Amino acid sequence: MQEEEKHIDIIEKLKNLPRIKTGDDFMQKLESRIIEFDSEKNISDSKSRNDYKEKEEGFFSKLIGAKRKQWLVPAMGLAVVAVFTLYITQFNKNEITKDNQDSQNSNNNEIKQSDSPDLNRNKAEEKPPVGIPEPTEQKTESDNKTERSATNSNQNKAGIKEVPPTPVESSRMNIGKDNYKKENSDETPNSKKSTEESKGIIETEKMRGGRTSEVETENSGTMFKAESPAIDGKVNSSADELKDFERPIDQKLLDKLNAANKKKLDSLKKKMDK
Amino acid sequence: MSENTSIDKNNYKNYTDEQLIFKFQKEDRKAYNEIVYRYKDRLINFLLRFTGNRESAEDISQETFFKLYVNKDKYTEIAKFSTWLYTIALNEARTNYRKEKRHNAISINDYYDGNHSDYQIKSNDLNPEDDANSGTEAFHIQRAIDSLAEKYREVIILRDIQDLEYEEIAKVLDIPLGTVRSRINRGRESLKITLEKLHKTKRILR
Repeated sequence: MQEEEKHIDIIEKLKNLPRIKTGDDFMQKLESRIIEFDSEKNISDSKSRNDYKEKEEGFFSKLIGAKRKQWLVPAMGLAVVAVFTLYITQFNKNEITKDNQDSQNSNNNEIKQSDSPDLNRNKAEEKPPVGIPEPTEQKTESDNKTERSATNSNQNKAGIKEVPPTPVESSRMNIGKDNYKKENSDETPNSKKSTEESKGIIETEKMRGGRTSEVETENSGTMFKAESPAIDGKVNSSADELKDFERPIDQKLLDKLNAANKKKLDSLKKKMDK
Repeated sequence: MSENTSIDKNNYKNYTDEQLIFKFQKEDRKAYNEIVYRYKDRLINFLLRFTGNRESAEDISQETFFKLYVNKDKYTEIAKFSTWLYTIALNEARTNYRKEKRHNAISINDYYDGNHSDYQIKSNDLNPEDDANSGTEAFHIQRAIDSLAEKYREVIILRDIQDLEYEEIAKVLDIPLGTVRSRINRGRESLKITLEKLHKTKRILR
Protein backbone atom coordinates (compact mmCIF):
# COMPACT_ATOMS: atom_id res chain seq x y z
CA MET A 1 0.00 0.00 0.00
CA GLN A 2 2.90 2.33 0.82
CA GLU A 3 4.39 1.62 -2.55
CA GLU A 4 1.09 2.48 -4.22
CA GLU A 5 0.96 5.77 -2.30
CA LYS A 6 4.41 6.57 -3.58
CA HIS A 7 3.37 6.20 -7.23
CA ILE A 8 -0.20 7.45 -6.81
CA ASP A 9 0.19 10.14 -9.48
CA ILE A 10 1.27 7.63 -12.12
CA ILE A 11 -1.46 5.19 -11.09
CA GLU A 12 -4.08 7.92 -11.49
CA LYS A 13 -2.70 8.85 -14.88
CA LEU A 14 -2.85 5.24 -16.00
CA LYS A 15 -6.40 4.78 -14.70
CA ASN A 16 -7.53 7.94 -16.38
CA LEU A 17 -6.32 6.82 -19.77
CA PRO A 18 -9.13 7.00 -22.34
CA ARG A 19 -11.05 3.75 -22.78
CA ILE A 20 -11.87 2.56 -26.23
CA LYS A 21 -14.69 0.34 -27.43
CA THR A 22 -14.65 -2.41 -30.01
CA GLY A 23 -15.90 -1.68 -33.51
CA ASP A 24 -19.49 -2.30 -34.58
CA ASP A 25 -18.47 -5.14 -36.83
CA PHE A 26 -16.50 -6.87 -34.08
CA MET A 27 -19.27 -9.39 -33.27
CA GLN A 28 -20.11 -9.94 -36.94
CA LYS A 29 -16.49 -10.68 -37.79
CA LEU A 30 -16.24 -13.11 -34.92
CA GLU A 31 -19.51 -14.78 -35.87
CA SER A 32 -18.48 -15.25 -39.51
CA ARG A 33 -15.15 -16.69 -38.41
CA ILE A 34 -16.89 -19.14 -36.10
CA ILE A 35 -19.35 -20.22 -38.81
CA GLU A 36 -16.47 -20.80 -41.22
CA PHE A 37 -14.67 -22.86 -38.61
CA ASP A 38 -17.79 -24.91 -37.87
CA SER A 39 -18.38 -25.71 -41.54
CA GLU A 40 -14.74 -26.73 -42.00
CA LYS A 41 -14.92 -28.82 -38.87
CA ASN A 42 -18.05 -30.59 -40.11
CA ILE A 43 -16.42 -31.34 -43.46
CA SER A 44 -13.25 -32.61 -41.83
CA ASP A 45 -15.27 -34.69 -39.37
CA SER A 46 -17.27 -36.30 -42.17
CA LYS A 47 -14.06 -36.93 -44.11
CA SER A 48 -12.35 -38.46 -41.11
CA ARG A 49 -15.40 -40.63 -40.45
CA ASN A 50 -15.35 -41.85 -44.04
CA ASP A 51 -11.62 -42.48 -43.86
CA TYR A 52 -12.07 -44.39 -40.62
CA LYS A 53 -14.83 -46.48 -42.15
CA GLU A 54 -12.69 -47.23 -45.18
CA LYS A 55 -9.81 -48.18 -42.91
CA GLU A 56 -12.09 -50.36 -40.81
CA GLU A 57 -13.29 -52.21 -43.90
CA GLY A 58 -10.58 -54.79 -44.24
CA PHE A 59 -10.09 -57.63 -46.69
CA PHE A 60 -12.78 -59.87 -45.25
CA SER A 61 -15.34 -57.07 -45.05
CA LYS A 62 -14.68 -56.43 -48.76
CA LEU A 63 -15.11 -60.13 -49.39
CA ILE A 64 -18.10 -60.76 -47.15
CA GLY A 65 -19.41 -57.41 -45.86
CA ALA A 66 -22.20 -55.22 -47.15
CA LYS A 67 -19.92 -53.37 -49.57
CA ARG A 68 -18.39 -56.54 -50.88
CA LYS A 69 -16.83 -56.62 -54.31
CA GLN A 70 -18.54 -59.38 -56.23
CA TRP A 71 -15.63 -60.21 -58.47
CA LEU A 72 -13.46 -60.97 -55.45
CA VAL A 73 -15.30 -64.16 -54.46
CA PRO A 74 -14.82 -66.19 -57.69
CA ALA A 75 -11.33 -64.77 -58.10
CA MET A 76 -10.37 -65.92 -54.63
CA GLY A 77 -11.99 -69.32 -55.23
CA LEU A 78 -10.06 -69.80 -58.46
CA ALA A 79 -6.83 -68.74 -56.84
CA VAL A 80 -7.31 -71.20 -53.99
CA VAL A 81 -8.12 -74.07 -56.39
CA ALA A 82 -5.11 -73.24 -58.56
CA VAL A 83 -2.80 -73.21 -55.58
CA PHE A 84 -4.25 -76.47 -54.28
CA THR A 85 -3.88 -78.28 -57.61
CA LEU A 86 -0.36 -76.97 -58.05
CA TYR A 87 0.53 -78.18 -54.58
CA ILE A 88 -0.92 -81.63 -55.21
CA THR A 89 0.62 -82.08 -58.66
CA GLN A 90 4.05 -80.87 -57.64
CA PHE A 91 4.25 -82.98 -54.49
CA ASN A 92 2.69 -86.08 -56.02
CA LYS A 93 4.95 -85.90 -59.06
CA ASN A 94 7.98 -86.35 -56.85
CA GLU A 95 6.44 -89.24 -54.96
CA ILE A 96 5.17 -90.96 -58.13
CA THR A 97 8.55 -90.66 -59.86
CA LYS A 98 10.22 -92.10 -56.77
CA ASP A 99 7.77 -95.00 -56.69
CA ASN A 100 8.17 -95.58 -60.42
CA GLN A 101 11.93 -95.59 -60.11
CA ASP A 102 11.80 -98.08 -57.25
CA SER A 103 9.37 -100.36 -59.07
CA GLN A 104 11.39 -100.15 -62.28
CA ASN A 105 14.56 -101.03 -60.43
CA SER A 106 12.93 -103.96 -58.74
CA ASN A 107 11.35 -105.13 -62.02
CA ASN A 108 14.68 -104.92 -63.78
CA ASN A 109 16.27 -106.99 -61.04
CA GLU A 110 13.49 -109.52 -61.24
CA ILE A 111 13.74 -109.73 -65.02
CA LYS A 112 17.44 -110.31 -64.68
CA GLN A 113 16.77 -113.02 -62.13
CA SER A 114 14.10 -114.60 -64.31
CA ASP A 115 16.48 -114.49 -67.24
CA SER A 116 19.25 -116.02 -65.17
CA PRO A 117 18.04 -119.68 -65.57
CA ASP A 118 18.72 -119.46 -69.29
CA LEU A 119 22.14 -118.10 -68.59
CA ASN A 120 22.67 -120.75 -65.96
CA ARG A 121 21.46 -123.30 -68.38
CA ASN A 122 24.03 -122.22 -70.93
CA LYS A 123 26.66 -122.29 -68.24
CA ALA A 124 25.48 -125.67 -67.18
CA GLU A 125 25.76 -126.90 -70.73
CA GLU A 126 29.34 -125.78 -70.75
CA LYS A 127 30.19 -127.18 -67.31
CA PRO A 128 27.58 -129.59 -66.16
CA PRO A 129 27.96 -129.98 -62.36
CA VAL A 130 26.80 -133.24 -60.91
CA GLY A 131 25.31 -133.54 -57.38
CA ILE A 132 26.00 -129.93 -56.54
CA PRO A 133 23.02 -127.65 -55.98
CA GLU A 134 22.83 -124.62 -58.19
CA PRO A 135 24.05 -121.57 -56.34
CA THR A 136 22.43 -119.12 -58.75
CA GLU A 137 18.94 -120.48 -58.17
CA GLN A 138 19.28 -120.13 -54.41
CA LYS A 139 20.76 -116.70 -54.71
CA THR A 140 17.93 -115.51 -56.85
CA GLU A 141 15.39 -116.79 -54.36
CA SER A 142 17.04 -115.02 -51.44
CA ASP A 143 17.55 -111.88 -53.50
CA ASN A 144 13.95 -111.97 -54.57
CA LYS A 145 12.84 -112.18 -50.97
CA THR A 146 14.91 -109.17 -49.97
CA GLU A 147 13.78 -107.19 -53.00
CA ARG A 148 10.18 -108.06 -52.39
CA SER A 149 10.41 -107.05 -48.79
CA ALA A 150 12.00 -103.79 -49.94
CA THR A 151 9.32 -103.18 -52.51
CA ASN A 152 6.63 -104.03 -50.00
CA SER A 153 8.08 -101.56 -47.58
CA ASN A 154 8.12 -98.99 -50.39
CA GLN A 155 4.53 -99.80 -51.16
CA ASN A 156 3.63 -99.33 -47.54
CA LYS A 157 5.46 -96.00 -47.50
CA ALA A 158 3.61 -94.89 -50.59
CA GLY A 159 0.36 -95.75 -48.88
CA ILE A 160 -0.55 -98.56 -51.26
CA LYS A 161 -2.34 -101.35 -49.51
CA GLU A 162 -1.83 -104.92 -50.40
CA VAL A 163 -4.79 -106.47 -52.08
CA PRO A 164 -5.75 -109.62 -50.19
CA PRO A 165 -5.93 -112.65 -52.45
CA THR A 166 -9.24 -114.08 -53.49
CA PRO A 167 -10.12 -117.52 -52.12
CA VAL A 168 -9.22 -119.18 -55.44
CA GLU A 169 -5.91 -117.38 -55.56
CA SER A 170 -5.10 -118.18 -51.96
CA SER A 171 -5.83 -121.84 -52.55
CA ARG A 172 -3.62 -121.65 -55.56
CA MET A 173 -0.92 -120.06 -53.45
CA ASN A 174 -1.15 -122.71 -50.79
CA ILE A 175 -0.94 -125.46 -53.33
CA GLY A 176 1.98 -123.70 -54.94
CA LYS A 177 3.75 -123.28 -51.63
CA ASP A 178 3.31 -126.96 -50.82
CA ASN A 179 4.55 -128.01 -54.23
CA TYR A 180 7.46 -125.65 -53.93
CA LYS A 181 8.42 -127.10 -50.58
CA LYS A 182 8.16 -130.59 -51.93
CA GLU A 183 10.18 -129.78 -55.00
CA ASN A 184 12.83 -128.02 -52.97
CA SER A 185 13.13 -131.01 -50.72
CA ASP A 186 13.05 -133.61 -53.52
CA GLU A 187 14.40 -132.00 -56.62
CA THR A 188 18.01 -131.66 -57.41
CA PRO A 189 19.25 -128.74 -59.52
CA ASN A 190 19.64 -131.06 -62.42
CA SER A 191 16.08 -132.23 -62.25
CA LYS A 192 14.97 -128.56 -62.09
CA LYS A 193 16.93 -127.82 -65.17
CA SER A 194 15.42 -130.70 -66.98
CA THR A 195 11.91 -129.55 -66.19
CA GLU A 196 12.71 -126.02 -67.34
CA GLU A 197 14.15 -127.23 -70.55
CA SER A 198 11.17 -129.50 -71.19
CA LYS A 199 8.74 -126.65 -70.77
CA GLY A 200 10.81 -124.20 -72.76
CA ILE A 201 8.93 -121.36 -71.34
CA ILE A 202 9.84 -119.49 -68.23
CA GLU A 203 7.27 -117.19 -67.05
CA THR A 204 7.36 -115.00 -63.99
CA GLU A 205 4.96 -112.44 -62.96
CA LYS A 206 5.07 -110.32 -59.90
CA MET A 207 2.38 -108.35 -58.36
CA ARG A 208 3.55 -105.07 -56.93
CA GLY A 209 0.91 -102.75 -55.54
CA GLY A 210 -1.74 -104.01 -57.90
CA ARG A 211 0.51 -103.56 -60.93
CA THR A 212 1.43 -106.57 -63.04
CA SER A 213 4.68 -107.15 -64.81
CA GLU A 214 4.88 -109.51 -67.65
CA VAL A 215 7.91 -111.45 -68.66
CA GLU A 216 7.65 -113.34 -71.85
CA THR A 217 9.90 -115.89 -73.28
CA GLU A 218 9.47 -117.21 -76.73
CA ASN A 219 11.29 -120.50 -76.59
CA SER A 220 8.21 -122.45 -77.55
CA GLY A 221 6.83 -119.83 -79.87
CA THR A 222 3.78 -119.23 -77.67
CA MET A 223 3.03 -116.34 -75.44
CA PHE A 224 2.21 -117.19 -71.89
CA LYS A 225 0.80 -115.14 -69.10
CA ALA A 226 0.34 -115.97 -65.46
CA GLU A 227 -0.66 -114.00 -62.42
CA SER A 228 0.44 -114.39 -58.86
CA PRO A 229 -0.19 -111.97 -56.00
CA ALA A 230 2.53 -110.87 -53.63
CA ILE A 231 1.95 -111.98 -50.04
CA ASP A 232 4.40 -111.31 -47.22
CA GLY A 233 7.19 -110.90 -49.66
CA LYS A 234 6.86 -114.45 -50.86
CA VAL A 235 5.89 -114.86 -54.48
CA ASN A 236 5.67 -118.01 -56.48
CA SER A 237 8.31 -117.21 -58.95
CA SER A 238 9.01 -120.48 -60.65
CA ALA A 239 6.92 -121.19 -63.69
CA ASP A 240 7.12 -124.92 -63.06
CA GLU A 241 5.15 -124.71 -59.90
CA LEU A 242 2.55 -122.51 -61.49
CA LYS A 243 2.11 -124.71 -64.46
CA ASP A 244 1.45 -127.76 -62.36
CA PHE A 245 -1.55 -126.40 -60.57
CA GLU A 246 -2.77 -123.40 -62.58
CA ARG A 247 -4.10 -124.98 -65.68
CA PRO A 248 -6.66 -127.40 -64.21
CA ILE A 249 -8.03 -124.62 -61.91
CA ASP A 250 -8.23 -122.17 -64.75
CA GLN A 251 -10.05 -124.64 -66.89
CA LYS A 252 -12.48 -125.40 -64.09
CA LEU A 253 -13.04 -121.74 -63.53
CA LEU A 254 -13.45 -121.11 -67.20
CA ASP A 255 -15.95 -123.94 -67.43
CA LYS A 256 -17.88 -122.51 -64.51
CA LEU A 257 -17.80 -119.04 -65.97
CA ASN A 258 -18.87 -120.30 -69.37
CA ALA A 259 -21.75 -122.20 -67.83
CA ALA A 260 -22.82 -119.16 -65.85
CA ASN A 261 -22.57 -116.95 -68.91
CA LYS A 262 -24.56 -119.40 -70.96
CA LYS A 263 -27.25 -119.45 -68.32
CA LYS A 264 -27.34 -115.67 -68.25
CA LEU A 265 -27.44 -115.46 -72.00
CA ASP A 266 -30.26 -117.97 -72.13
CA SER A 267 -32.26 -116.08 -69.57
CA LEU A 268 -31.66 -112.85 -71.47
CA LYS A 269 -32.71 -114.45 -74.71
CA LYS A 270 -35.84 -115.73 -73.05
CA LYS A 271 -36.58 -112.32 -71.72
CA MET A 272 -35.98 -110.79 -75.12
CA ASP A 273 -38.29 -113.32 -76.73
CA LYS A 274 -40.94 -112.58 -74.19
CA MET B 1 -43.58 -17.94 -11.05
CA SER B 2 -43.01 -20.05 -14.10
CA GLU B 3 -42.65 -16.87 -16.21
CA ASN B 4 -40.07 -15.48 -13.75
CA THR B 5 -37.99 -18.65 -13.83
CA SER B 6 -38.05 -18.69 -17.63
CA ILE B 7 -36.90 -15.06 -17.66
CA ASP B 8 -34.14 -15.89 -15.16
CA LYS B 9 -33.04 -18.82 -17.31
CA ASN B 10 -32.71 -16.63 -20.37
CA ASN B 11 -31.22 -13.66 -18.54
CA TYR B 12 -27.52 -14.46 -18.93
CA LYS B 13 -26.46 -11.23 -17.23
CA ASN B 14 -27.24 -12.79 -13.86
CA TYR B 15 -24.84 -15.66 -14.39
CA THR B 16 -21.23 -15.58 -13.27
CA ASP B 17 -18.43 -16.01 -15.78
CA GLU B 18 -17.85 -19.59 -14.64
CA GLN B 19 -21.52 -20.48 -14.98
CA LEU B 20 -21.52 -19.04 -18.47
CA ILE B 21 -18.50 -20.98 -19.62
CA PHE B 22 -19.96 -24.21 -18.22
CA LYS B 23 -23.16 -23.47 -20.10
CA PHE B 24 -21.14 -22.85 -23.23
CA GLN B 25 -19.34 -26.15 -22.71
CA LYS B 26 -22.81 -27.71 -23.02
CA GLU B 27 -23.13 -26.09 -26.47
CA ASP B 28 -25.07 -23.00 -25.29
CA ARG B 29 -24.12 -20.36 -27.82
CA LYS B 30 -25.96 -17.59 -25.96
CA ALA B 31 -23.64 -18.07 -23.00
CA TYR B 32 -20.69 -17.60 -25.33
CA ASN B 33 -22.18 -14.41 -26.73
CA GLU B 34 -22.66 -13.11 -23.19
CA ILE B 35 -19.01 -13.81 -22.38
CA VAL B 36 -17.88 -11.96 -25.50
CA TYR B 37 -20.18 -9.06 -24.66
CA ARG B 38 -18.76 -8.83 -21.13
CA TYR B 39 -15.08 -9.04 -22.01
CA LYS B 40 -14.63 -7.56 -25.48
CA ASP B 41 -14.05 -3.93 -24.28
CA ARG B 42 -11.89 -4.93 -21.35
CA LEU B 43 -9.72 -7.10 -23.54
CA ILE B 44 -9.36 -4.55 -26.31
CA ASN B 45 -8.21 -1.90 -23.84
CA PHE B 46 -5.70 -4.22 -22.29
CA LEU B 47 -4.41 -5.22 -25.73
CA LEU B 48 -4.33 -1.65 -26.98
CA ARG B 49 -2.10 -0.65 -24.07
CA PHE B 50 0.06 -3.67 -24.59
CA THR B 51 0.52 -3.35 -28.34
CA GLY B 52 0.02 0.40 -28.72
CA ASN B 53 -1.97 -0.28 -31.91
CA ARG B 54 -5.76 -0.39 -32.15
CA GLU B 55 -5.93 -2.62 -35.23
CA SER B 56 -3.67 -5.27 -33.85
CA ALA B 57 -5.50 -5.00 -30.50
CA GLU B 58 -8.76 -5.75 -32.25
CA ASP B 59 -7.25 -8.62 -34.22
CA ILE B 60 -5.76 -10.15 -31.11
CA SER B 61 -9.03 -9.87 -29.19
CA GLN B 62 -10.82 -11.58 -32.10
CA GLU B 63 -8.24 -14.34 -32.00
CA THR B 64 -8.66 -14.64 -28.24
CA PHE B 65 -12.43 -15.08 -28.44
CA PHE B 66 -12.04 -17.52 -31.31
CA LYS B 67 -9.60 -19.59 -29.24
CA LEU B 68 -12.08 -19.49 -26.39
CA TYR B 69 -14.70 -20.90 -28.77
CA VAL B 70 -12.43 -23.66 -30.07
CA ASN B 71 -10.86 -24.63 -26.73
CA LYS B 72 -13.88 -24.16 -24.48
CA ASP B 73 -13.57 -27.69 -23.10
CA LYS B 74 -10.04 -27.02 -21.83
CA TYR B 75 -11.30 -24.70 -19.12
CA THR B 76 -11.55 -26.24 -15.65
CA GLU B 77 -12.72 -24.64 -12.41
CA ILE B 78 -9.19 -24.49 -11.00
CA ALA B 79 -8.75 -20.85 -12.01
CA LYS B 80 -11.10 -17.91 -12.43
CA PHE B 81 -12.50 -17.58 -15.91
CA SER B 82 -11.15 -14.01 -16.27
CA THR B 83 -7.64 -15.22 -15.40
CA TRP B 84 -7.89 -17.94 -18.03
CA LEU B 85 -9.14 -15.51 -20.67
CA TYR B 86 -6.42 -12.93 -19.86
CA THR B 87 -3.81 -15.67 -20.13
CA ILE B 88 -5.02 -16.53 -23.60
CA ALA B 89 -5.07 -12.88 -24.62
CA LEU B 90 -1.63 -12.19 -23.17
CA ASN B 91 -0.08 -15.18 -24.96
CA GLU B 92 -1.61 -14.02 -28.22
CA ALA B 93 -0.39 -10.47 -27.61
CA ARG B 94 3.12 -11.67 -26.85
CA THR B 95 3.38 -13.71 -30.06
CA ASN B 96 1.94 -10.85 -32.10
CA TYR B 97 4.24 -8.30 -30.45
CA ARG B 98 7.30 -10.47 -31.25
CA LYS B 99 6.18 -10.90 -34.84
CA GLU B 100 5.72 -7.15 -35.28
CA LYS B 101 9.03 -6.48 -33.63
CA ARG B 102 10.73 -8.76 -36.13
CA HIS B 103 8.81 -7.16 -38.99
CA ASN B 104 9.68 -3.56 -37.98
CA ALA B 105 13.32 -4.30 -37.34
CA ILE B 106 15.65 -4.34 -40.40
CA SER B 107 18.61 -6.66 -40.10
CA ILE B 108 21.79 -6.04 -42.06
CA ASN B 109 24.49 -8.66 -42.06
CA ASP B 110 27.95 -7.15 -42.10
CA TYR B 111 30.15 -9.56 -44.03
CA TYR B 112 32.89 -7.09 -44.91
CA ASP B 113 34.66 -7.22 -41.58
CA GLY B 114 33.97 -10.86 -41.08
CA ASN B 115 31.67 -9.99 -38.16
CA HIS B 116 28.25 -11.63 -38.55
CA SER B 117 26.59 -9.24 -36.14
CA ASP B 118 23.10 -7.95 -36.92
CA TYR B 119 22.26 -4.29 -36.80
CA GLN B 120 18.73 -3.73 -35.57
CA ILE B 121 17.16 -0.47 -36.51
CA LYS B 122 13.72 0.19 -35.06
CA SER B 123 11.35 1.85 -37.45
CA ASN B 124 9.95 4.98 -35.87
CA ASP B 125 7.13 5.52 -38.30
CA LEU B 126 4.10 7.05 -36.57
CA ASN B 127 0.52 6.13 -37.42
CA PRO B 128 -1.69 9.04 -38.59
CA GLU B 129 -3.75 8.55 -35.42
CA ASP B 130 -0.62 8.78 -33.28
CA ASP B 131 0.45 11.85 -35.17
CA ALA B 132 -2.85 13.58 -34.40
CA ASN B 133 -2.74 12.68 -30.70
CA SER B 134 0.97 13.35 -30.33
CA GLY B 135 0.35 16.43 -28.21
CA THR B 136 -1.96 14.76 -25.67
CA GLU B 137 -1.09 13.30 -22.24
CA ALA B 138 -2.46 9.89 -23.16
CA PHE B 139 -0.12 9.72 -26.12
CA HIS B 140 2.91 10.38 -23.90
CA ILE B 141 1.81 7.84 -21.36
CA GLN B 142 1.33 5.27 -24.11
CA ARG B 143 4.82 6.03 -25.46
CA ALA B 144 6.16 5.61 -21.94
CA ILE B 145 4.38 2.26 -21.60
CA ASP B 146 5.74 1.14 -24.97
CA SER B 147 9.24 1.97 -23.88
CA LEU B 148 8.97 -0.32 -20.85
CA ALA B 149 10.40 -3.79 -20.92
CA GLU B 150 7.84 -6.48 -21.68
CA LYS B 151 7.85 -8.00 -18.22
CA TYR B 152 7.15 -4.60 -16.56
CA ARG B 153 4.64 -3.52 -19.15
CA GLU B 154 2.52 -6.64 -18.61
CA VAL B 155 2.20 -6.19 -14.85
CA ILE B 156 1.60 -2.43 -15.02
CA ILE B 157 -1.25 -2.81 -17.53
CA LEU B 158 -2.85 -5.69 -15.65
CA ARG B 159 -2.64 -3.96 -12.29
CA ASP B 160 -3.10 -0.24 -12.96
CA ILE B 161 -5.27 -0.29 -16.09
CA GLN B 162 -7.20 -3.57 -15.81
CA ASP B 163 -7.42 -3.52 -11.99
CA LEU B 164 -6.52 -7.14 -11.52
CA GLU B 165 -5.52 -8.43 -8.09
CA TYR B 166 -1.89 -9.32 -7.39
CA GLU B 167 -2.81 -12.99 -7.00
CA GLU B 168 -4.65 -12.97 -10.27
CA ILE B 169 -1.71 -11.36 -12.07
CA ALA B 170 0.58 -14.00 -10.56
CA LYS B 171 -1.71 -16.70 -11.99
CA VAL B 172 -1.99 -15.08 -15.42
CA LEU B 173 1.75 -14.65 -15.76
CA ASP B 174 2.51 -17.87 -13.89
CA ILE B 175 5.04 -16.16 -11.63
CA PRO B 176 5.29 -15.83 -7.82
CA LEU B 177 3.40 -13.08 -6.01
CA GLY B 178 6.59 -11.42 -4.79
CA THR B 179 7.89 -11.20 -8.35
CA VAL B 180 4.61 -9.51 -9.34
CA ARG B 181 5.00 -6.92 -6.58
CA SER B 182 8.60 -6.16 -7.38
CA ARG B 183 7.92 -5.95 -11.10
CA ILE B 184 5.03 -3.56 -10.53
CA ASN B 185 7.21 -1.28 -8.40
CA ARG B 186 10.07 -1.29 -10.86
CA GLY B 187 7.70 -0.76 -13.73
CA ARG B 188 6.07 2.24 -12.08
CA GLU B 189 9.43 3.80 -11.26
CA SER B 190 10.76 3.37 -14.78
CA LEU B 191 7.46 4.70 -16.14
CA LYS B 192 7.77 7.78 -13.93
CA ILE B 193 11.30 8.37 -15.14
CA THR B 194 10.38 8.02 -18.81
CA LEU B 195 7.35 10.29 -18.38
CA GLU B 196 9.51 12.97 -16.73
CA LYS B 197 11.96 12.69 -19.60
CA LEU B 198 9.16 13.03 -22.10
CA HIS B 199 7.79 16.10 -20.28
CA LYS B 200 11.24 17.66 -20.26
CA THR B 201 11.69 17.15 -23.99
CA LYS B 202 8.17 18.53 -24.53
CA ARG B 203 9.05 21.70 -22.60
CA ILE B 204 12.29 22.05 -24.53
CA LEU B 205 10.43 21.63 -27.80
CA ARG B 206 7.90 24.30 -26.73
